[in-house]
Amino acid sequence: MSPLSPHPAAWRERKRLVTVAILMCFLFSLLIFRFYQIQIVEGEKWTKIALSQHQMVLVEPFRRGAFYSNMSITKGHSEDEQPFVIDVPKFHLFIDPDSIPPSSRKQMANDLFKLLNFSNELQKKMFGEFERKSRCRKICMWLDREKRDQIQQWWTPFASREKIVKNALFFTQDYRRSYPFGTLLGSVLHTVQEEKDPQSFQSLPTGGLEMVFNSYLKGKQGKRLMMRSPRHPIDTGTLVEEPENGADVYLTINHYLQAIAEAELAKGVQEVKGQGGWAVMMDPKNGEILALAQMPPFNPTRYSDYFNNPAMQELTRVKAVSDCFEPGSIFKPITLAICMKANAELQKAGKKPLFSPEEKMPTSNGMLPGRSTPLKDGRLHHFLNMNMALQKSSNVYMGRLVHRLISTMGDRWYRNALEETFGFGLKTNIELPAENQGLLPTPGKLHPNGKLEWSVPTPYSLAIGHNILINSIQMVRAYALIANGGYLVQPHLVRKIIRKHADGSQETIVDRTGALMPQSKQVLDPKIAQRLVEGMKFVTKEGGTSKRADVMGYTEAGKSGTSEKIIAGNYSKQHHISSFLGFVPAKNPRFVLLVSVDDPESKFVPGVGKQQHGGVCAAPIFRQIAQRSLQYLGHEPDDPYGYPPGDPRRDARKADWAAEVDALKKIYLQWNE
Amino acid sequence: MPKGLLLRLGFCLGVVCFCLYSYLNKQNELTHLKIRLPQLEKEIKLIAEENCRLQYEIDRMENPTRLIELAHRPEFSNLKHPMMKEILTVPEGIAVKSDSERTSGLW
Repeated sequence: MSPLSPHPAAWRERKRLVTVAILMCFLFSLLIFRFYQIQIVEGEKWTKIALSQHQMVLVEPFRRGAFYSNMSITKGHSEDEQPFVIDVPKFHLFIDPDSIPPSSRKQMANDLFKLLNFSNELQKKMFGEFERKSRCRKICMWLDREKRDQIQQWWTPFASREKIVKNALFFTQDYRRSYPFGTLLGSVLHTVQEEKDPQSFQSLPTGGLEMVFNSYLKGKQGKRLMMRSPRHPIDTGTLVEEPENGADVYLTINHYLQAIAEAELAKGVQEVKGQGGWAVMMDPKNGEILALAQMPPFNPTRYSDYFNNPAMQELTRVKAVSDCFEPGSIFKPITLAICMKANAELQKAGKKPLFSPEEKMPTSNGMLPGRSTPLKDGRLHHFLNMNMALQKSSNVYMGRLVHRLISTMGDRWYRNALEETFGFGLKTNIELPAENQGLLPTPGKLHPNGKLEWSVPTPYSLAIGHNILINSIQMVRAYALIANGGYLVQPHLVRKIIRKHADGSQETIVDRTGALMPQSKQVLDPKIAQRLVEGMKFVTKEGGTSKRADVMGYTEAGKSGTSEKIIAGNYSKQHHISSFLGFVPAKNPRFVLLVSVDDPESKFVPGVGKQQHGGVCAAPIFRQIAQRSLQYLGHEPDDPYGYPPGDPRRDARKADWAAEVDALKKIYLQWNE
Repeated sequence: MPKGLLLRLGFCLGVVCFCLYSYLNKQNELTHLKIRLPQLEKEIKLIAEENCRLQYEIDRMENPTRLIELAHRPEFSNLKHPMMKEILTVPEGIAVKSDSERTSGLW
């Protein structure tokens, strides 16, 4: 047989071999094609699936922005940042019940509860968590690092002895709002809820500045990738996205001034057995609120107690902003300012002015149009001038003056002047929630009960601070206007907001540190303001209604006021709001300070007067806060001989305003003897 | 083979080996640092947390309400807030200059 002629059997075998080879090649190419499809075409999809099976994304907590004290109020003070609230790292304890063998659960729970000092009741409740069919149950929140380390020291040998996977017990880190100064500024700051929003992992504010500045304070969660393995502890892994901390808010409030205000207010309220009280301190030059105290205080760490108890809910509000009241006699300087403004307008138009501050005005008859009862003073005065009217807090003088005002300028002018000059009836837009704009009656407008807001006797009531509702910030701003020479400043609580980035850079989001007074509108002639200050200086001196507000060593100007509280729609003779509002020093004031006591005990104090009067119960608190605050600010005494008669430090020849007080006394006696 | 060529070849090989060694050594050092980095990062985080906690404790101690109470005690009755005119602020530049002069023996 020729070698070229193939053997039929070998040929068949070769043919089969080729077929098998082709088939193999085809199958191999199919495999390659599939590989290509999986690795190249669908690579991303499969990588994603694989990663999700082997890795998990953990949320990296961010630090919520903090509130800082105003450390720049004077030189010589520490420049270090002083936080009112900070986020302190804490830990939450979780278990993975599915990974814990049923035989070990009881022992594990008992040991763990002992370490956590759980009560018997809580132990019973929490043991249920071990029996649940779940991979993650929360056992305890807000543990500190020491406690976490203590639990871990117990857990590691326990887990290996009982052959439990290490991750059956794990911790997650979080930041907790902490208050180094306790309840200081509590009602203004407020807090955040214990549980975060489950969707966004953001804190839920309960009110106050936390709520108003929540958009700045909240940060952004980071992301950490971790291998799904019992050998990888929860806090390891790669940080794929850095958390972004919240922005820090720098307040105008100084922590030391706030502490002085709160301490003195608490002491004063306790002395007069009041229901509570509040104090507002503001820089008249720029509207910065330097202290905002309230008694009883709101404790942010126990916020749920306050919200769950209806009797305590009112303590969660900043009453100086959310509550309005009839100001009473502290409104009298406002009445005089309006009348002096009318004087200026009349003089400008070439007309006769309403009055002269030195004019002898008859004040024995308080019967005024529309009133069923005459206006009365504390005691009968036959004739008074403006200084005496302020000194004696005369209702009749104010009523008579306003009678001239509305006879000449009209009701509408009076009402508009109160709104446009002092901003009564309008929100101050201070950065706190639920501001009550109060009520300034309008001629022709009806109350919800159908009665007219403005009737014939309304202007005379307004003259003495009745029939008008205002909040404390509005009132303090009105006095700031007198103190600063006529500028309507914007009250505010925030100086700046700064976001600090992880690389150390800073971004200023809000900056209000510049002087604001030049931007403010001048609404009152500085001469009128100056004349009012002179009149208000008599109030705290001999013969005045508020001698207890005389700040030793410093000059001051102010006015006390007492108003009846409205209870169930009626004025109460037994319940009062007693206030003193003034500024120190009288010339170039450092701050305006309002002190209000809610419902002081009504009684007569021998040698002093009725305790419920502002000049008796609120004035001493004003004096103490003002004196200690000025000392803290390093303010040189501007009246070093201005002590009360009988004090060895007093020198009547050198004491400020002593000669003027003597001269006024002489005139008063001439007119009223 | 000429002796000079062998020497030059040997020198070149030596330089190449040295460079290779240096490169590998540097790589090892870098790897070593890379291994230490997460550990250091964790330590820094712990220190920062501890710092934050301690600052919180210091702030609690320096609570102005507590300081005011302390100031009322008889043993601290000699302390008072300084007046503005009593506070002298030395500009930083002058303070640094004075300090360097003192250390250089001029003072």
